[in-house]
Amino acid sequence: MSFPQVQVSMDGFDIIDKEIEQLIYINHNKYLMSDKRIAFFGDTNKVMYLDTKRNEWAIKTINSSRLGSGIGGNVNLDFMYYAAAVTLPNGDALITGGGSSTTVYQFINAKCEIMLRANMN
Amino acid sequence: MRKEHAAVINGPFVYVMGGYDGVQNIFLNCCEMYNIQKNEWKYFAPMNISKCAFSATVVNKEYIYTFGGYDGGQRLDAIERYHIKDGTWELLNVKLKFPLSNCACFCPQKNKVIVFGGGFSSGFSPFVEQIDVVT
Repeated sequence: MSFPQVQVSMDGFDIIDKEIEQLIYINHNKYLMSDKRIAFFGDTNKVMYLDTKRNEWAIKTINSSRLGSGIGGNVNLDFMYYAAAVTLPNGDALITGGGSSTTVYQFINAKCEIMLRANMN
Repeated sequence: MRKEHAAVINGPFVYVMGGYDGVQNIFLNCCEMYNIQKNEWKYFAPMNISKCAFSATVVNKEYIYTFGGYDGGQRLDAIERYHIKDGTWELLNVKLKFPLSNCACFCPQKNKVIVFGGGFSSGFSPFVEQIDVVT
């Protein structure tokens, strides 16, 4: 397996972040090979993971504070039935529609957080 | 409104296709694409068949294939192909071996698609079909 060569400057983290972003757009499949998990969304504020390398299950609570100000900064997430999701190049998930909605969420995998993205038309 | 649709990703774009609008009670053939970097949605060409409960996958970074589904009256054996560069849909002459809804699919390597599971006339399908895609 080969990886693209990227020259990065150590002058600032923002530059490094940009280079990494470009790197993962080159071939996100190879990038994701390092952390292969299947995420299941559905239960309120929960995400269930299957680590395909270790064959282990885990459940985490999603931090939904980015969605608005509920008690403790969180709101209850209500994932709609029959939504469709894809894995983004950076390892996050984009969850689209479902139920009677045009809502789009981005699940931030590294922080186990959720944020709203632009609605579908 | 959109549910029971399909979504795939190719580069910085997420393609969302078809599904069912439970408010207007209509099956959808309309499609829209999401630009991850710009956080914007735009419509693209509609599919030939309005349907939900189908599966879709990107093939060779050039095409989006859809398999089976449900059009409100029956399960489908239809295969459609979207040419990403040209922005056009094509209803292929080749069909699935039997009508199938709610199946899953993926592209494991160039010119090959695996279609598996789903619902067919005898209940849940245990079958796995490998399709050699001629592009």
